Amino acid sequence: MFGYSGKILHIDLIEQKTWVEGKTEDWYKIWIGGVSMATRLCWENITPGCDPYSPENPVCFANGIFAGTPVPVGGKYGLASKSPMTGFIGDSLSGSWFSIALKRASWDGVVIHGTSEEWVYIFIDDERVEFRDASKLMGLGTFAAEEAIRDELADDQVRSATIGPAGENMVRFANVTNDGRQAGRTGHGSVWASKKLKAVSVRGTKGITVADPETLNKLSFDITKAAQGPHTSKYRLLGTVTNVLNMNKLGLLPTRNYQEGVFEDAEMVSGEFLHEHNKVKTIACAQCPIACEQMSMVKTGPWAGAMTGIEYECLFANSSNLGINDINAAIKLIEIADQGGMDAMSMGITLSWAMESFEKGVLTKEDFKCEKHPDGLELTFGNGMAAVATAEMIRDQVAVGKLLSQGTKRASETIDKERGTKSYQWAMHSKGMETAGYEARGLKTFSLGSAVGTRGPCHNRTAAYDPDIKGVVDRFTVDDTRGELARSTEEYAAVYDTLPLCKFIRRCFTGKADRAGAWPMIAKLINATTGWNYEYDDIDLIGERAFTIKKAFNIREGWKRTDDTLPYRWMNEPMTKGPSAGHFTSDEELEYMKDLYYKAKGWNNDGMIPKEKLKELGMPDVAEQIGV
Amino acid sequence: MDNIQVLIEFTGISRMLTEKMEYQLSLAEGAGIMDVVRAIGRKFPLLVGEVIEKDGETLIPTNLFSVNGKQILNEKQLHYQPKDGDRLILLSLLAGG
Repeated sequence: MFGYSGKILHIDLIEQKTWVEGKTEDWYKIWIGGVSMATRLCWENITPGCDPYSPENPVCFANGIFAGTPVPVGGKYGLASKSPMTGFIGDSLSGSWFSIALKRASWDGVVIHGTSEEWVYIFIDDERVEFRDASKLMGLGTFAAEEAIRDELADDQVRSATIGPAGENMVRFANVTNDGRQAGRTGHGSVWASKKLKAVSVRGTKGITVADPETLNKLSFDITKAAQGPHTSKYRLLGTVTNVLNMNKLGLLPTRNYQEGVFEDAEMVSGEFLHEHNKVKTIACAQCPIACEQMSMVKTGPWAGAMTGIEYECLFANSSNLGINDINAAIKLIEIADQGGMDAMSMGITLSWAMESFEKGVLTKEDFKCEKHPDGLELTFGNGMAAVATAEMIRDQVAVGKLLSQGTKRASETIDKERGTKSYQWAMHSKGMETAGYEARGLKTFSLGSAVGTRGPCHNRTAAYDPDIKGVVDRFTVDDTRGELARSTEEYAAVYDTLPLCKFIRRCFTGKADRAGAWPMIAKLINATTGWNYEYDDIDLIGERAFTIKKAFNIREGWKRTDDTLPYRWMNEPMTKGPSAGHFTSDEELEYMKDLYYKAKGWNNDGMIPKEKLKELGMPDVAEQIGV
Repeated sequence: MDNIQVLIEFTGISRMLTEKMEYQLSLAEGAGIMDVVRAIGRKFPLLVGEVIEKDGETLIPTNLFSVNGKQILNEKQLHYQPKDGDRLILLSLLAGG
């Protein structure tokens, strides 16, 4: 077999033993890698209905088909478990050196079972596995933990995926970090902590064999050259933070807990401002010629020295969404999230819920009293100092930080039950995961994509903002094209998430990012790597299969149609300012769009998947369990 | 023929290349978006090849104009004729982040 070793490594934390599962080439042809394979491994190895924090919830890594090859932006891996935020599939992607090390260690996937008695980290040294005492790593931030492991093992080629103190403290939206990149959203860090798993470290020393190295090299060279030209210069020069002003100009920049879509001080927290005042370096992931990460530093003031990579989603969540116009406060907040090992989006949106709750009297200064802040805090919109202090409370599980560490869904449910309040009306989540950086009230197709997302409202998985923002459709109205559009964009995105390839490469194959422009080249890359004979339709199937296995997982975990919904605010409160003023997505509109979407997917009107459909997609076992 | 005035707002890469936040453009009444593209390409040559195609006639894909923040002009709407006082926001769209 080319492109794969044919082996999945299983690790049992309870008995500290390992075993190897062989997989057939036919299995890989269906599941490929990334989010699809990770979800499939989770499907195969989880006890359905288990608590996400129980030993029965596995941690599943699935490597990328192109990791360690010359294919640009192919150094990525998928990670999946049952999410403690949603109770459904929690699938994430991360990139860079860890995926390459895992490939060189000859593992296509890793499944970690059970719960350890003591805190450990796992060291995968090619085919040898060690369970190592993690006590000296406890309390270390994500980056510091990676360094400490390299020091302990005396090898700077070791790559580690780690959790930070937030994960150790069971912050529900804690993430997993490797090489400065995060497997974010869905709460992987707290799942690992429930298993007393601090890190997974890998050293891989073997070569990687592909079917047709000459062709693969030539294709990769051409794509790499294109990836350093105008199709990607905006990522390199400014990065995704360009979207702050883009969204603000369209009235779509979440502001003060999504109360509005325009922020009067957007220029002060824009990518342009960051570039001029705070950027120190552009960094690339391993195997990436684009280089999009904007490493930025606070140069003056109380947080001088704070430094981390800044992306749009983290920036909006910790600036405009908090009413904060101080870019330094935003950088500091994101640094707390990154070093502490928390999803910066969920952290920011939970903070914004807390700010609105404070301003409405649901939370008070008393709630913030602790040793460090004996008089409490006034967590009002725009108060950067209080936001930073509260983020630290979340990380450390102190005072109101304990409540907030559970995310907006649980925080609002708890407080409303205890205090007879209605803070659920401003809790910005769907299925338990916080929303993304696009005001969906001004993007009707995206509002559908957010509602039906298998891991929650995720811009990355749905991509349904694309037709709205590019003027393909009227973003303010609903029509009968939206179901098919949401299906098409999510399955398009799922191809990239399954290989995985970073989506920023999508225009570099032919200059056109659509299926016709990208799929033929992707087929050539797969064929040169594996020796298969994939064509256009096979690539399309990759995306449909990925989404279907995720949906099937959710159905088995109890998903029903009413779970596909939107936050109260998006369905009841129109924005009042800016170009998107007057708009929201009504219940009637959403139900209509859901009908169209389920039909476009070939599902029944309850959103359940017919047995025949699952069998067509090569999932007969799934058909037996959840097909209708 | 009377001229109309439109305000071009630059963001992202176009702002970096022009070093301007906005630019007042005088257009002949009845001019279309392609005339706008040609005009700003001539005024700001650094945009050509990065935001505007090398022929100076159209925008490189994912660069779009929004009219007053509401309407977004896709590649099939190049016939749009700006009105006097329109704000044409030159957006360099990118996904992810």
